[in-house]
Amino acid sequence: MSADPRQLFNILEMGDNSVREWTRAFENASEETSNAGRLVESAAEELRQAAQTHQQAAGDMRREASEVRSDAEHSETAANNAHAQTVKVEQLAEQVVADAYRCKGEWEYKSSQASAELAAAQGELANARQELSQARQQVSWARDRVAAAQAQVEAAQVPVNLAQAQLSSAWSALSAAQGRYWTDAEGRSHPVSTAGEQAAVYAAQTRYNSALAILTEAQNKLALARQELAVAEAREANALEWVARAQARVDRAERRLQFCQQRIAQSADLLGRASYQKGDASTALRLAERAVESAREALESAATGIEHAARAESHAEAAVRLAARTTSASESLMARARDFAQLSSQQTESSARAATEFGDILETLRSFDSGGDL
Amino acid sequence: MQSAAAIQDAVRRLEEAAAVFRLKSRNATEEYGELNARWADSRARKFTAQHIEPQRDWIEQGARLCHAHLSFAETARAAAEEAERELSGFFAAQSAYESAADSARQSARAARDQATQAETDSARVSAALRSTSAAIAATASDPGW
Repeated sequence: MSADPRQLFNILEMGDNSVREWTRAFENASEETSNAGRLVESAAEELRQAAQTHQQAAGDMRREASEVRSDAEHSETAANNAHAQTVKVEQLAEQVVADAYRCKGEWEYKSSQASAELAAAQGELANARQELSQARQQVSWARDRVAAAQAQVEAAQVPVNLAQAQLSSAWSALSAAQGRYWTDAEGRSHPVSTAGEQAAVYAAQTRYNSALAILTEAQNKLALARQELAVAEAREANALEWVARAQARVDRAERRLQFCQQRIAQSADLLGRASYQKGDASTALRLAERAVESAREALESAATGIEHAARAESHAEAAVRLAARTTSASESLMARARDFAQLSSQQTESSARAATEFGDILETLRSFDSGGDL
Repeated sequence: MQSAAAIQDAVRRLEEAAAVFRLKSRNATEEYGELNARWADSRARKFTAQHIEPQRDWIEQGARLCHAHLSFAETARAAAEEAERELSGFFAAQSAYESAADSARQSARAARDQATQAETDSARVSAALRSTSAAIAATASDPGW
């Protein structure tokens, strides 16, 4: 082909420009590709490091979650132990309250018995006192009768003494008369007649006997009165003993009643204390129940935490795998970018050679007005 | 984490570079064709064989590599996006874990404190009850009349 050197010059200059422009474009594309590849590589590395960091964090999280669960289990054990202890204490409190209530009831029953006994004792004391009063009245009466009988005896004693003196005198006179004799004419001695003296003795004896009978009757009455006094005094003594016994019974019943009332008051106080302590035991039990509930919540939260930690670990592992895939893709990309750069380098070298050749030709063309077979 | 966004940016730049490469390579191919058509002497044939034909081959290889770049970059972007979703899932799970762990610790601490207080209170009440029980036993004893 033959061509106008000017035209050929223009064609070759266009070709030279085309090669240069294409080479610049190739180089720009290569540089942009390398930059982008490095960007991907950097991002992939950052992602890989982040994924590994989070994988480690997830592992730490799993271990920490296990520790949290262990902690929750320990708290559950502590709460269960506390609950068992408080249940026992509340049972003890219920038993103590029941004991206090029973104790109070028993003392109230005994107090009612003591009250009944006191009433009975007071009734007996009244009866005893009435008996004593009657006995004393009887003693008084008996003493009056003894005094009266004594007076009668003393009154009867005087006639007896008088009659006894008269009888003695009569006997003396009779004895004196019986020792006297008279001598009759014949000289015989004859006792003097004592008929008068004997009659006097008889009369004195009769009076004496009569007075003595009166005295004896008075003495009998006195003896009877004394017997009655003795009976009355014995009754009084019995009545006094009865009063003493009844008073002792009353005193004992009063002491017993007072004792029972003290015990009722003590029992009521103990019942109040036990009830208050049962309230404290119930409060402790409710606190232990709240502890058990808190421990249950802790276990549930710990289990939830373990699930979340496992999920986090799963996510982190997946992220590591995907980061590795990203890294692998970026490495492949970089390998291709290097290939691309190699092509670009070849293009640049080729372009340089082409430009040299173009330059030689163009220089040659500038030396000719017309081009032949160049 | 902005890795997927950075890769997405790289993908965009690669797409632009590939587009420029395609455009420029197409222009170069056309201009090389025009050069070849208008410069057809023996030296032109030699020049073409020596310089232009290898470039055509590199253009084809470069086009394949551009496609490969985009493919790998897209793979990296998809994997990075998925990884970041997994990391978002990790963060959500981590946050949920921390909340649950805090709750568990707080509840466990409360349980221990309550259990300790309950044991202390019940021990005190137990001692008081035993004292009361002894007093009740003493009060219940009846010396009789």
